Amino acid sequence: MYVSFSSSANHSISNLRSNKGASTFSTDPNYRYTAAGYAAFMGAVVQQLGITDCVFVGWSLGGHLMLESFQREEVFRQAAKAVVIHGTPPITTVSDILAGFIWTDPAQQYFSQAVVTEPEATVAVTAFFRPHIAEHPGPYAPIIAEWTQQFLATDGVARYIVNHNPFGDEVNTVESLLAQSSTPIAIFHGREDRLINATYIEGLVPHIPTLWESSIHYVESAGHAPFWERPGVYNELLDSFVDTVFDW
Amino acid sequence: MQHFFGVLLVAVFVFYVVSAHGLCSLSKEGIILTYIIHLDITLDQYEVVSVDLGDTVVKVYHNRNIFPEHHKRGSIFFAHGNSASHKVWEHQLTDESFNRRFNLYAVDFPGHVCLLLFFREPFHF
Repeated sequence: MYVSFSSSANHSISNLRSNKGASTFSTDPNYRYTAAGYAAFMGAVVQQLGITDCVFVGWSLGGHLMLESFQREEVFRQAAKAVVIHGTPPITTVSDILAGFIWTDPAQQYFSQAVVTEPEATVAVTAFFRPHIAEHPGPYAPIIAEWTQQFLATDGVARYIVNHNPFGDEVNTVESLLAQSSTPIAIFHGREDRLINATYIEGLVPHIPTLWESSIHYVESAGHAPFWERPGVYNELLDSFVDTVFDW
Repeated sequence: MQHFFGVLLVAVFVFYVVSAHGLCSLSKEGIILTYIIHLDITLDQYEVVSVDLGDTVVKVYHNRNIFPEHHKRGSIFFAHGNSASHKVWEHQLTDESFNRRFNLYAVDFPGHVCLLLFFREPFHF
């Protein structure tokens, strides 16, 4: 599937939205917003900043992109001491995509939608947290409002392409990569994640030989964003893994 | 007996002070002691590095100037999710223990614009 978007139109949006402190929209969205494009971007970042001995931590889409970068970019593999993913079901096939995500959640549709309204973005962002937060946001209201604005400021084309045609014509081999890699990997997961099917990830555990403590580490009382809902618990968990890695 | 009430009073006072600073909270599971979030480290202290990819310029945030005198053991790189930005990692990027020991990096992906002009009050559970 080839998605056609006008580069010039996109570029003008980029100029409109960009500022000194922000990443910009791509003028080559059909490449940059695919798995290969994002992986190349990560390779360039690692190379230009001279990053070494690094634990790469990816959340959700970020987790997928860390796995894709590991798979595709030699410079990334050289720099990677370990990889941590959470809210990320490793996927290879279309059936994996169907099994790895909880598609019955009404928020799912908005993560691949190019144009979203503010109420739709709010529904999407609220799904990052535990289920009851949708009914009773309480102290979460300010962060939901902020992340909603962030959602709306993102290039909708990026959202569309990476979710509709992430691999282009290439064959994705993430699962075999995980099975063969000697690099330590940790999987964290919010116990009350609304969006990701933990049972699917559990099924991969026996096939990842370098998985930390051979198990998924659940963060209790947290949804899709445990680093925000339970920062103390999350930081301690990450700290434990990182300590293990640097003594590996 | 007087000592007991004295100790109890001190314990209640300590709990009140600590919880008021977001270091612990009451939940269904009982008292949750959270990691100390040092608000004296802020994202504003991060160095912003531009990486030009030709079709897009991305921003990478690095704690190079935080505890520069410390020997950093290695690096931790944080990658955000769909339609988010590096700011979601605020509680990790401002963690004193991580900052003392590691080079910390966070990125805004291509097409993901961080709203730097959006301010809010510090957030506690």
